[in-house]
Amino acid sequence: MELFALLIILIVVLGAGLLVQWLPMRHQPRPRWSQRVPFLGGGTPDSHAWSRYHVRYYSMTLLLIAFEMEMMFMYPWAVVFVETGKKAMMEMGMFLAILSVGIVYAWREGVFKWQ
Amino acid sequence: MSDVVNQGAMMALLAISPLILVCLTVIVVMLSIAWKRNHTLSAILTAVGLNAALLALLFGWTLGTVDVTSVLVVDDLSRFGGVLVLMSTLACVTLAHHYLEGYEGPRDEFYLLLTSAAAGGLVLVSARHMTTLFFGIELLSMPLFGMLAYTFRDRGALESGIKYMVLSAAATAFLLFGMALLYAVTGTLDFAELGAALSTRGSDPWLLAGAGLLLVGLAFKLSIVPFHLWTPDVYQGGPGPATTFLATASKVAVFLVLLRLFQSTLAFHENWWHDLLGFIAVITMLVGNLLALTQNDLKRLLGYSSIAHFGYLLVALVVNQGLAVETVGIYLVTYVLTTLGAFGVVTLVSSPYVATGGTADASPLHHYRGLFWRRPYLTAVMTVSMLSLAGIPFTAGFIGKFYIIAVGVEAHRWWLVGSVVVGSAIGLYYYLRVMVTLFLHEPGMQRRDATHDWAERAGGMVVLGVATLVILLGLYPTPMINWVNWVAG
Repeated sequence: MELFALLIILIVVLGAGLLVQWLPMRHQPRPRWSQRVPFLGGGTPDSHAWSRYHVRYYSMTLLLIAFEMEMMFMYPWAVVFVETGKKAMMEMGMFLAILSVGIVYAWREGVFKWQ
Repeated sequence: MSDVVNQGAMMALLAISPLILVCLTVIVVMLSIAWKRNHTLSAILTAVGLNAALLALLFGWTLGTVDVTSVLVVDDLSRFGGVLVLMSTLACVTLAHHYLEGYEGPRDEFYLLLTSAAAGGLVLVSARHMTTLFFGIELLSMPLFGMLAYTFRDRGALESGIKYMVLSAAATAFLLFGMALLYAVTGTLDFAELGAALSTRGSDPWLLAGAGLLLVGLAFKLSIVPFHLWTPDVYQGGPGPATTFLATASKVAVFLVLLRLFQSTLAFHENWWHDLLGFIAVITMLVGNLLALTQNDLKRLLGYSSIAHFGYLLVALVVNQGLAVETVGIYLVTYVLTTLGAFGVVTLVSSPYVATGGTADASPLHHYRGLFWRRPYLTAVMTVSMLSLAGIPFTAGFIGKFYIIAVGVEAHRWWLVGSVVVGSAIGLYYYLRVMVTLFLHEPGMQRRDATHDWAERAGGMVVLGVATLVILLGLYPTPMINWVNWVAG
């Protein structure tokens, strides 16, 4: 019985694999121009869809991730805070203070300027 | 009652204060950069912080074993490792200050990365639990990616940073999978409890697989054959100060944690583990030395030589009885001093940094041709370092090698002793080749020189001091031996 289940799984897997191979191999008409152009909110595109663009949001994204993670720590901390009280408050204060120094540094480095 | 608690807390605080001070240094230097970017100020602040951490280590010298938390225990061995890590970081700071003066770009952040990595090393040497081991290794490695690729406009540096990052990620995957398997079988991640589990259920295949994967992960960091392929490329491409840190502090910290794992894990006493590790040690010695023979690049040569040296060090771990811990301690001290000397000269000759777009450092051997006629004292330092790496008497390296051979003979492991002897004989050839190159007189060759004022700079003084120590400890090793005996006993 188990072998039968294995056989079914094998057939399904093989079928799915072959299906994925077969779908793009069919001859089908090229999509029309209007379907191929990059979507620009209705306007006509002035550049190729694969053009290079500036990642000026990159440093901000990094900062966002750093501070999102900090928020994540605060949920378990809230539980600990109920048990230990003042000590947990001080520890979280230290953690936040160090992170704020990071903000000060990033600010001075001009991360928040949209260049 | 509260007095006792307070006293305990104060002791724990004193024991952990070097780590706290190093972390504080990172924050202070970061704030000072935010306030005003000044390269010399950042370097001085970093040096002050590291010296304060060293002083704090001294203040807590006689505390014995202190359980800071259940996962971080500071004992004599961790203080020993802390001294080595902080000393080599200090040397890197002084070298980096001279090196980065030629770098056009943000220079100060190098010290942030360096100090963070030192904090990782301090965590690692006090680790008693897989969480601290993992945390320490990651904190040690991640800043190193940035340090190795710091001068990223040079292809060599960028390549070395990326290579180290990708291979470290692979090593971390092995490490984590090993930990997961160990946890799945034993339900604990504490070194001592894992050791107990391994000694009672040592033949459980999952447990062995876990321990094996763990060792693979650590062997990557120590560049033990067959996980050594990254070493020469990373050594060659990385900027001088970063490579120095990678070769000294990083390897010492990882090796000490490996030693601790071996001490707490009795299953490694089983015969076939011994044979396997002995085989790896022999292969590491021979491969490292044989591949170093054909190198025409000083940094690559030093990379292969470090592979060989960790092969020698593995002998002490394979034996793991008698004088093994003393041997590891003495060998690490001599290795760190000697490597600091050799890489210090390479960094000084490459300082200040000149952007080339390729490999910025003076790493090809022909840059050093005839260095004696131009910078005689620097050549003397390099000669002493090479002699010490080769293990010639009257240098510190000889004492280390003597202990390795003594430990092997004591345990009647003739294959290992034989390979150490053969490896040293092969090693002599390429170390002497470097020395001969230094004294050759060949005008008109492409060359690099240290600046004229190298000896008046902190980096130059550190390198001279290290060379003096190598000779002093070779002539009169008693203080070092006493210290290491005390640590091990």
